[in-house]
Formats: sequence, structure tokens, C-alpha cells
Amino acid sequence: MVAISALEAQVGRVCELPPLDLDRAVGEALVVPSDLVTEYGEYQSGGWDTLSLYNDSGNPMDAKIRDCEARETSVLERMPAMRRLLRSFGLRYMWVRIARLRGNSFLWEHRDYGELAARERHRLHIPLRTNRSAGLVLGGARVHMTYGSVWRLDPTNPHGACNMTGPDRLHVIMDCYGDDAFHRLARGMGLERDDVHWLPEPSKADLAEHLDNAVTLARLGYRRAAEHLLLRLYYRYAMPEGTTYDLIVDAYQRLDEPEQAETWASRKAVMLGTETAEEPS
Amino acid sequence: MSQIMTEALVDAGRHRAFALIEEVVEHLAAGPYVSHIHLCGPAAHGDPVPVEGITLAVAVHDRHVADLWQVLDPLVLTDLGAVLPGWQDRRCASADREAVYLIGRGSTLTRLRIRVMPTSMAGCFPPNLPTRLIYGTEPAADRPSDAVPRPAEPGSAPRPTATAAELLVELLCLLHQASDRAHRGLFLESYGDMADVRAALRDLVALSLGETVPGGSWYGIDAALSHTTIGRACRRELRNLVSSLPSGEPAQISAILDTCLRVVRLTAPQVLTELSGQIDSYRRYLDIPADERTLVAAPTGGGA
Repeated sequence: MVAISALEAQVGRVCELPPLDLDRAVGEALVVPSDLVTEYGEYQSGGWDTLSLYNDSGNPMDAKIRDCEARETSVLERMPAMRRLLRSFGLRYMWVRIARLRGNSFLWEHRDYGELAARERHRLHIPLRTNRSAGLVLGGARVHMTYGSVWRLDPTNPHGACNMTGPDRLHVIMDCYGDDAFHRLARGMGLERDDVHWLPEPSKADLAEHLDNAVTLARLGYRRAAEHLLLRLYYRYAMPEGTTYDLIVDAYQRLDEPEQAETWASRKAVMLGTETAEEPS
Repeated sequence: MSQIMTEALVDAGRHRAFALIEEVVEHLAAGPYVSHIHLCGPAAHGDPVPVEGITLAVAVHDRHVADLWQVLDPLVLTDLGAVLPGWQDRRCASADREAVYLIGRGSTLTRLRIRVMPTSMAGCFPPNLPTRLIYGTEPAADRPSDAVPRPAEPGSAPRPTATAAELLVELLCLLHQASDRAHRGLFLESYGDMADVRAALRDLVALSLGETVPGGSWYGIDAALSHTTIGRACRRELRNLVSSLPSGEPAQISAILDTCLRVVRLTAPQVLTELSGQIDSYRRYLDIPADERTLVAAPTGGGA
């Protein structure tokens, strides 16, 4: 577990938004986009999809992020309030997406930006629709990004996102480059005590029980549920980095499936950025 | 509105309910030991959204019944995204291996009752219960049961006392049912559910405060709650709750939920903390605004 001051370096509330401007942008976001695109499937449980508002091609369906000089996509032309809001920050955008995370959906523990060139870039979130079962988990804490604010996340640390029980969570995710405008905006970044829920550390008995349940599920033929049961523990307990992946490896070893165990050991390296991979969220 | 538009709306409504049934069956049937799944109750006659919710009887090879029951909660929470852990309906005779889940899809919350039974008993239902086989082959012509002793019949084992968390889940499921019935104009049935909501709250208060109230009755509760400040505060809330007749109006459902959560906050705050995220989801599906007095600061992790 890290102290709240250390956590603030990773995540925090940047500024409040004018309520009326935000409400108008939300109204557009709820009705304008039609089909969202599923990218980074290997990093998620399913149920996470995006639509680009800024990118280098102008095509909103182009949602795999990369370094670029971004311009507005065609969908933003139909969202004047959202466009005004995004322009008002004066940021140099790399990519901006609307991201929907459905209920019971997760971005598993991972690191971002790993394969991109070394360059100062930042990630900001604007919650458009959320609920208290949705949150970011990092550093043994869960942070619920409340409506009404701009939030910043440093995605180079291990983190995960969840929307446990729904309804859908809808955020604008802005990747931008570090410049004066960003640093002015982020000057007041901080966390209040109520923003943070410190997760408990699991006992050995807790973990053993979850592992037993996962093995039973797998033996009954519910392998996906077994894996997800263990991956979801990241959102419930404060654990050392990569523990959930280690638990899956343990489960497959108990099931006498060494190949699956090996696959998950490799996957852990990819997700946590100790092996080169495509960029997730 | 044109006839075509009306039909499209009707189709859309039917599709959502049946799509959920299909989804649930697809997940459950992924296990090779599941031999049959029956749809029970009015849904078996084609009623897409019966007021009882959706009931599925899942038959699993006899030797795996206990295993499936043991992991049913993690399975449904993980695979289907139930909003709350399973509620074992204490009013139901077959509750030993039966649990009720609230499943959110779109903006709708549906009650899903899953009954786990051995393959050797697949198709054995009361004669007046409508059923339809939706997965597997007709039981009579199917494989013989596994050569192991038949598990105990439902209801034969004593049930453990419910915990405060289980009673809160029960209360929320019952309130959802009451709300659903009231919205359909079934006010008398809704009244019955409300009575059960109050009883669940009474049991939760008694359990949390360590008071002994004779087996599920109101007898002695006034005196039992008079000893402490918290007890007296709970008694006031319970008195207010029983003095209002339920109309089923959304505002009243909201007020009852707030009252219940205030009492839980007094008596079992850790349970409210554990379930705060789920309760917020529950509110949003039911379109019940959050009451700041019953919110807890920390978002929660929920089920495994």
C-alpha cells in the first residue's frame, strides 16, 4: 500500500468542470455515437469499447492509439458542446476517445505507453456517466472518478479499471503531450480522502478459498469464469504486482495443465510491460 | 404511432428478455456436466418478463451437484455480472439449492432464480408448475443418472442463520420485487413483499445488535430494542416503516430503501461499506436517486 501523497502522483482530480457545459457534452455523448470499436481485446474482459474524437486519421473508428499530431474526427463535428469543451483546455492532444465500460467489465492489471517512444505525455479522464462500483485500482487503492471533474491518471504504473455491477460507465479519455497548457491545468491536482478506498490485504485463507473455487469452476468446465474470478481479485484486495496472474498459473498447475500455466506466465509479462506488447487503453 | 413501430417496440422488449435467457443458458451449458436446463413459471408459456422473474432449473450430473452449488455465486457474479450475491429465498421450500440474482442489462434489472438439481431428478417438477426444456434432451430418454447416492432432498438439512450481509441482500431483492409488482398494479402482492422487507430489516437489526427475538416474529422487539441508543433509533425507524402503507409509488420505494439503509448504517456499517458499489448500481437501475445520508465514502469491490 502507498501513502495518499504517493498515490496523488499517479491519480488525482485536476479541476472542476462548468456543470452546464459538462451536461451539454454528456447529452451529446449519449446520443451521437452509434457503434463503438473494440480494441485491446487481450487486456480486457470484454465490454470495453471506444470511439475516437481526436486522432491522426480523422476516422472515429480508428481507435488504436499512437503518437501523432491529432485532429478532430468526423464524429466531433456532430458534437458541438463536446468540441467546445475539448478545445477549451488548449491541450496538444495525442488522442481523445469516448470509452464505454459496461457493467461487469474490466481492464485487467496492466501498464500503458510501454511501446511508445519516450516523450512526456499524460492521460486525462472526464467521467460522463458513472456509478460507485466503477473505479480505477492502483497502488492497493481504488479511486472512483466522480462526475463533474477532470481526472489525471499516470498509466505507466500498474493499474486496472472496473465497472463491477453497472450500469455502463462512459468516460472521455484524453491522451495529451506535456506542455504549458497541461501543466497549468494540472497545477491543482490532488486527492481527497473520500476519493480513495484502501483495499484490504487478503489472508492466505482468503486466497486459498478463491483458488479452490477457481479450480472447481475450471473442473466443471467454466474456465473463463475461473480465470476472471482470479483476475477480479485485483479490484478487491491490495496485493503485490502481478499476483492475480500468479494465481492463475497456480490454478493451472493444480489442474495439471503446464501449457496453460506457461501461457499465463507469459501473459503476465506482456500485461505488466516486462515484455513488448501493443498499447492498451 | 404506426403499427410497424408498435410491433418493433414489442419485438424489442421480447428480444431483451429472451436474449438474457439465451445468454444465461449459454454460460451455464458451457459446463459439460450440465445435462438439462428447464425454464419454469410463466416464462415457460412465453411471458417474456413475468413478475416472478426468470426461473431456471439446472440439472447437473449427480456427483457434481454439490460442486456446482458451491461455486454458483462466483459463476453468476463473474460470468453474468449479478449485481448482488445470490439470495436464498427463505420462504421457498426448495431454497437449499436455489438462489435469486439481480442481473442488470441495459437499464433494466431482472431477477433470475437458479435452482440446481441432480440429473436423476431432471424434469421432476410439481404438476402445476409450467416448465419448458430449453437445453438438453427430454430427461426420460436421456442418460441414466450417475451411480452415486442421490443427494439429500431439498429442505432436509437445517439452514444456517443468515448473516447481516445476506439479510441486506434479501431485503434488496424483496424491495426490487415489491417495486416491480407495484409498477404492474399488483398492489396487494407488493404489500406482501413489503411485509417481508420489513421482516428482513427487523431480523438484520436484531442480529446486528445481538438481540434475541423469538423465531422470525415481532414479539418482544420493542423491548429488545429499548436498551441502547442505536436500538432506540432503529426502533423509531422500524415504527415509521410499519406505520406507512405501501403504495408502490417510486417515491415511496425510494423512501423505504433510504430508511432501510439508514438502519443498516447504524447497525451493520461494515456491510454497507462492503456493498456500497452494488447498492449504488441497484439505485441507478431502479432510478432511485442517491441519498447522501446513506452513502458511504468508499466505493466497494463487490463479489469476487
